Formats: sequence, structure tokens, C-alpha cells
Amino acid sequence: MQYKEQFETFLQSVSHETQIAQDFRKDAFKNFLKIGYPTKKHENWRFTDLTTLAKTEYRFSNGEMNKIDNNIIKKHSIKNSYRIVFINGIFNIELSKLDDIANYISVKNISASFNCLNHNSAKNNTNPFILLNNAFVTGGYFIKIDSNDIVDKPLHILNIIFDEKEFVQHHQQNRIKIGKNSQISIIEETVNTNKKELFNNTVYNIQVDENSILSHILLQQKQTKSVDLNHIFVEQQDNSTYKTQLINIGGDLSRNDINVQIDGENCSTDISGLSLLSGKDHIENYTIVSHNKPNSNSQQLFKYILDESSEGVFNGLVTVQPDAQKTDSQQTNKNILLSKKALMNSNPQLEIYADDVKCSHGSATGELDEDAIFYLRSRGIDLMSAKSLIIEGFAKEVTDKIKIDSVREILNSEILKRLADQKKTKE
Amino acid sequence: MKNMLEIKNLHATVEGNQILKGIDITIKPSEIHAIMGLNGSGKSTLANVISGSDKYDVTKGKINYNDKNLLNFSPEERALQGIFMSFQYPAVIPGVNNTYFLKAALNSKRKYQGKTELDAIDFMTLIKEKLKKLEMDESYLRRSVNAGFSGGEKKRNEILQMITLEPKLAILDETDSGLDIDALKIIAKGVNNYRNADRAFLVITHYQRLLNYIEPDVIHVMIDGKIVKTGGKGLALTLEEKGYQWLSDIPVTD
Repeated sequence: MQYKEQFETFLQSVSHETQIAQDFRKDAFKNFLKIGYPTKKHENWRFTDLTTLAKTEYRFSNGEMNKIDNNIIKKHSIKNSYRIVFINGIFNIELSKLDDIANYISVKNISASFNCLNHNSAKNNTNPFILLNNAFVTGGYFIKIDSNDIVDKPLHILNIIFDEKEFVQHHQQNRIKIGKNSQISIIEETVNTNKKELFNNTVYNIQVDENSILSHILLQQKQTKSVDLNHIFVEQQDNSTYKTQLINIGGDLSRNDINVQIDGENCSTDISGLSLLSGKDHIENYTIVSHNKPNSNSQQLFKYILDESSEGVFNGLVTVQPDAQKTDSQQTNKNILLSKKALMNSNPQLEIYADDVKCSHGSATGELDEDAIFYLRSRGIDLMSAKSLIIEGFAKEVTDKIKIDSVREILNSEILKRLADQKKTKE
Repeated sequence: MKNMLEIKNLHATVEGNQILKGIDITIKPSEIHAIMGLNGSGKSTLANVISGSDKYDVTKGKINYNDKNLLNFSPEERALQGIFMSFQYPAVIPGVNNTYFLKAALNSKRKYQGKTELDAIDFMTLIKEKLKKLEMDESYLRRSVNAGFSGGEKKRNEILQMITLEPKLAILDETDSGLDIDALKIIAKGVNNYRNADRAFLVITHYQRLLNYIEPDVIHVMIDGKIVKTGGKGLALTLEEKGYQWLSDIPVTD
């Protein structure tokens, strides 16, 4: 049986945990064994090739601290922001920069407060990756903001995964709870300094209470060979705003599953994603937005730029429950194929059980606009530059949604760098 | 004076359909030529072939520009050598800021001419002065190229690009269509102020209206891919009076 020995060894390394915690892990692992890794026969995984993942021999990360090169922090720092650094899921206070917000933001290691895990969205789940995560979770954070706190600068979360020697599986659970009338912008980056293959599997539980605003940007850049899975569960209360941007710059196999439950009235939900793919990259975004109460609005915009033999998947489901009258929802997926071999699968869906709603969805995949290319060339701009200009413009519709200048500039420059690299390899 | 543009027996097809069926036009510096004709007569095809659009195939004939075979050059090379087309339907490019686009285009040209590229400050000074000439608002600079522009705004944007890039040969493809009379006057003023001894214009239109404001030296009438008549500016008035029918045995429909 898969990982059985590894699980026994792993349990010993966490033997200091309470009985409840250990039972929770055992239970999850038992359920994982029953289900196993999904195959392409599962509707939800039909585009995802997990054969390599299932075959690879991984070591399970057990939350050990490693010394890291301080240049990593320097290289990734964002000016005018607070910073929280996690190394292999463990909070590193020396490298973090919390200043005065330490008084009202509490950052905890998940492993030190295991009851955080007993969260409804993580329990009773039949997703094998969430079960695997529950069994092997070693780290993560719990960021809690009290009521009536407006955090003045963005909070930069740097997750550094570090192992020199082996293929590693790393399971992390992060929790964000924004109390009433509060506001924060988080930009989260996972930096994988592994030389070897990494399987990174993270579960997020996010709660946005009444009248609160959370902006959460997730930046993923392919550094070495890795499988990245994010399972993001969000609950919104009355008058809250949840805004997220998922920026994937490359990825061997990356998948974001977002599930937003709009449990309050007058909420606003804005989910957008930008994926830049080349080589054999494979990036998936699966979203579920459920309008459970009236008078809320949700917007989704996912854009993919696919080069070479890369593959993108977008699967978005918006459900409007019978109570959720006056829902206003839009879902858009736009994709540019830069190569004949690139492939995009797009499946926007709507399920509406209320009668007084405004909902739309759409998807468009195409090559670069020939007329736009000719237009730019006729102004003296060479073919390659014309193409990059159009691609940049396409990408900017997502990054322009980011209102913090320093963060937007970093993302734009990372995107430009990536496009320039791609251009160079073609010349 | 030397000829700037020589089009000889030009034939061109689009998707296998013969559109241009033997065009001969010669333009000298300082001249304004007008091509008039109904929709579908091949006027825009000619403009696009001169600019280098690869949607069209030249099957016969040639185009010389300053004694060089123009058909050997890419669209960007043609632009750098001084050819400019004001598009009938300018492309919309979402997310690409006008300032950024115009600066890239101008600097590409300056580089080609061996001049130093303009920095952001010098460029802004230059472009603001050009905007004033066309009575355009500065907010235009922050918008994406032609995105959400009205028909009139798009045409003004084309002329703005023209007076910024300072071409030698400017082709105005139906620049007057969709413009109200005030906008038309502003654009005509832009063109007239911009005439000089080294510069030529090829103005494509199907109405005589524009030619009241931009006075051509030569008028060509195009029907079904051929120039059927060439004459002075009086020809426009005759056409306005009698229609295109009198020039052709071929039944034409608008």
C-alpha cells in the first residue's frame, strides 16, 4: 500500500502530539488508502496526469528547520510591507518583519495548535489530496486579525521549501481569519529552493467576517521540478470582500482548487488568475463559487498564455442557491495559444436555482490577433516586439486589478522577465 | 522631380480572389493623390498591399518606393522607411497603453534613423504638443490602444500617430468615414498643416466631402480592381453629380 511505511515512520516523528491529533491523522490516512490517488476516470481529474506523482518515491517532510541562504529573503523582499517567513512550514521569527502589527496579528504554527485543523472544510472531505494533507501535515500558519483592525501595509508571506537531497512531499495547512470590520492585503509566495523534485500540497481555510476585506495574492513560480496543489476554502460573511489573484508563472503540474461559500449578504468576491505556460507545463484552476445568500456579486477572470506543448485547464462552477436572489455574477476565461501544440480545456458552468439573478459566463481561446500584430508592425515595431506587447497587454488585465503599486510592479516585472526569456529561446 | 511611389500593373488576391486587376499609379513628393470608388472596388486592398499586410498576395506587377522594390520589405521595414497607413478599422489592443505604444513606435523609428531615443519626459513634452494640435484630451494617453474608442476617436488617434511618426508617404484609408463635420475639419487641418515638399499623401475615400478640405492634385477612380479614370480635382465634383455609373459598363451596387 502506498506510503504505509512512510506513515508509520512519520507518526513516530510526531509522537509528541496529542492523542486526538494522532487519531485525526490515522483516520485521514485510512480514508486516503481507501480512495487512493485519483485517475483520469474521475470527472474532476480527467485532465490531470498523476502517474509520475504516484510512482515517485518521496520523503515526507516532517517540519525540520534548515538553515537557508539569506539572499533568498533579500531577493524576494517587497518594499514597504510586513513580512512573515516560513521555512518548511515553520514560522521563522528572525527572518520575519512584523513591527507593530505583532500586537494585533497573531501568527501561529499550525502544528503547535493542532485543533486548528479540526476545521469543517478539512474534515469529511473525500478529496484524496486533502486526506493526504490531513495525515501528513507538518506546518502552516494561522493568521488571525482581530476585529476593527486595518493593516496599513501589505503582508508578504514567504513560504520557503528547502531540502538539498531528496524528493520531498510537503503538506501544509494555512488558516486566515479576518475579524469584523478589518482589512488586510496578503501577498503569498512559495519559493522552492529544492534541487530535487517537490510535491507541495497546501490546504487553506479562510474566513472573512462581517464588513471585512481580504485581498490575497498567490504567486507561484516554477523553480525546479514540482507538483503544486492548493486547496483553498473560503467563507464570507455579510458585507465582506474577498479578492484573490492566482499568478502562476510556469508549473510542471500546478492546480488551484478554490471553493468560496458566500454565506452573507452584500458580499463581493473577485477571483482572477493569470497562468503563463511553456514547455510541458500543466496548470489547472478549478473554482466553485456558491452564492448562498441574496444581494452579493462575484467576478471571475482567468487568463492563460500557452506556449510550446503546454496545457491549461479552467473549470469554473458558479451556483446560485434558491435564497440567493439578486445575485450578480460574471465568469470569464480568455486564453492565447502561442503554439499549435498548446492545449486549453475550458469549462465554465452555471447552476442557478433562484429566478431574479444576473449571471453570465464565457470562454474564448485563440491565437494572437493578426490584425493587432499588423497594426503594430505598420508603426515600425518589429514582429517579436509586437507579439510581446500584445501578450503583455493581455496579461495586464489581471495584474491591473492589484491596487498596491509595489506588488503590481513586481508581478509585472516577473511576467515581463518570463516573456523575455521565452522570446530569447525562440530567436 | 523623382518619383516616390511607382505602382505598375499591380495584381493582388485575397484568399484566392482577384481583387486588384492591374493598378498603375505614380506619386511624386509633395503631391496629394485621391482614390475614389465604391465599397468593394479594391481601394483598401491597395492600401494594405502598400503597407505590407500578409493577408494579400501580390500575383503580378510591382511597387517601387524611392527606387527600391517595396515588396521585398516587411511591414515594419516599410514603416521605418517612411510609409504610414491610417487604418479604416484600427485594431484594438487591450492592455497596451497608448503612451507606451507611441513611444515604442517613435523610438523604433528614431533608432532606425540613427537618432537618440527619447526618454519618458521628452516624449511626453512632444506628444502633449501633438495632442493639442488635434484637440485631443490628455486622458487619451492613459487609455489602451483604441480600446473603447468611438469611431471619431480612433480616426483622430490615427492622425495623431501620423503627425508623431512623420512619414514620407501617408495613406489615409477612409479616414473621413464615421466622422462628423467638426472632427473632419480638425483632421483635415492636421493633414494640411503637415504638407510639405518631401511628403506625399494617398487619400482613399468614397465621398467627395473630404476633398473639400484636403485638396488633391490628382484623383483616380477605381472600379472593380482597376483605375478607370485619372484626372484633376474637378473629377470629384463630376463624380458627386453623376455617380460612378457613368464611368463603367459594369453594373455596380453600393
